[in-house]
Amino acid sequence: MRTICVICFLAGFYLMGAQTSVDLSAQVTKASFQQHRDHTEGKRKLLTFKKKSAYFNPLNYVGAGLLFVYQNIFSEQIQANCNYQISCSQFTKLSIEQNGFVRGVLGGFNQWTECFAGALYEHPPAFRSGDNKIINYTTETTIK
Amino acid sequence: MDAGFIEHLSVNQLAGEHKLYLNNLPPLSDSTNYYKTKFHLKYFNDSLLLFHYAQSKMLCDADTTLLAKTSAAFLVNSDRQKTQTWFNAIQQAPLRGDLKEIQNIYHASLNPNAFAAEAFPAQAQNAYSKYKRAYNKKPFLAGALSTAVPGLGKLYVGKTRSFIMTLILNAAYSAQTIESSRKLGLSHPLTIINAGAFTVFYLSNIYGSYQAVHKLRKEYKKQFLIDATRFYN
Repeated sequence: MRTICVICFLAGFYLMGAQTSVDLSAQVTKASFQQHRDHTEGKRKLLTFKKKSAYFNPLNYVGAGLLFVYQNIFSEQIQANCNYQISCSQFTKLSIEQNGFVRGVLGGFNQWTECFAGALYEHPPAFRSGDNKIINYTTETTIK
Repeated sequence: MDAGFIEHLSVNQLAGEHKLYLNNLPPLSDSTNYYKTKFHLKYFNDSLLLFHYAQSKMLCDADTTLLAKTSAAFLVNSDRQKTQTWFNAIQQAPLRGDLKEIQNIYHASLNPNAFAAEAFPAQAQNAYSKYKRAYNKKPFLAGALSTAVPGLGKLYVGKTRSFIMTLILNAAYSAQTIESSRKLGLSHPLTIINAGAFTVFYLSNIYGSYQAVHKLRKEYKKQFLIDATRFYN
């Protein structure tokens, strides 16, 4: 019982400390870099499908659910810095919403394969942002 | 109507005052619509520009500088339908000098095979050549090549780095799948996971190569139009 109490206390202490440090670092980062940011991502939504029929496909829920877990748990922890303006996971999610599960997943994996530093130079200058990211687009945000 | 004052408002970018002044002019007058067209060109608003241009077509058509600048602005406009409306609307206007060249650029963006790169400004020629090359690539061929050798379709499109990465990644996954199937057997969970991962990456490479042709066309078309617009502005 005593051991459990000690573990709970340590865990609580650790979590509180981590939370405070995350809040503080987030505030400092926001204050320092907000004016230099080219692209600000809005809050990530859980699910919004383009077609009504897509709401009845369980695969879409599996795909979007896995990506939601990845984006909100794993991606936050590893502090991933993507080469693309729309990150691979977000791109996959948008593609699933717009093109369905199969095309969405394949498109997302393809972007993942092409996510390396040199990929920037395979796109014309108009598709490179000021912070050296590739300006990518899904069907919804297609350039005209 | 004080043309000098309008010029002053325009040069000093006093948008609010400029708009207020134009709104107080007689609304049905040709000159008012002409100045409103110029206003909506400066603070680009495609719908209102087209509306006021239609109201003062005779006057606007006589100003070739206005037509050339408006055409250059429409080249990079994101609303394709309004761009088409504009270029159809100026068909009857006297096309000469810059205006003719800009119209050729617009037609070249629709069908790059109809024009040679030398017909355009030097700074847009590079993007135009790349656009023309991408336009003549076949998406199905890119997909077929990637089916034969993973990533080959990307090399066909001109993405050498992506070709190398895709080939290495697919080779690694296939080697891993073969090794686990030999050592652990086909029904082992690890073999199934490896085979699944390899299948997804292999199929995504085919789909990606097919899509790469479409994407590259759009990207170089946009780059060509941006380069050309920079020259005429």
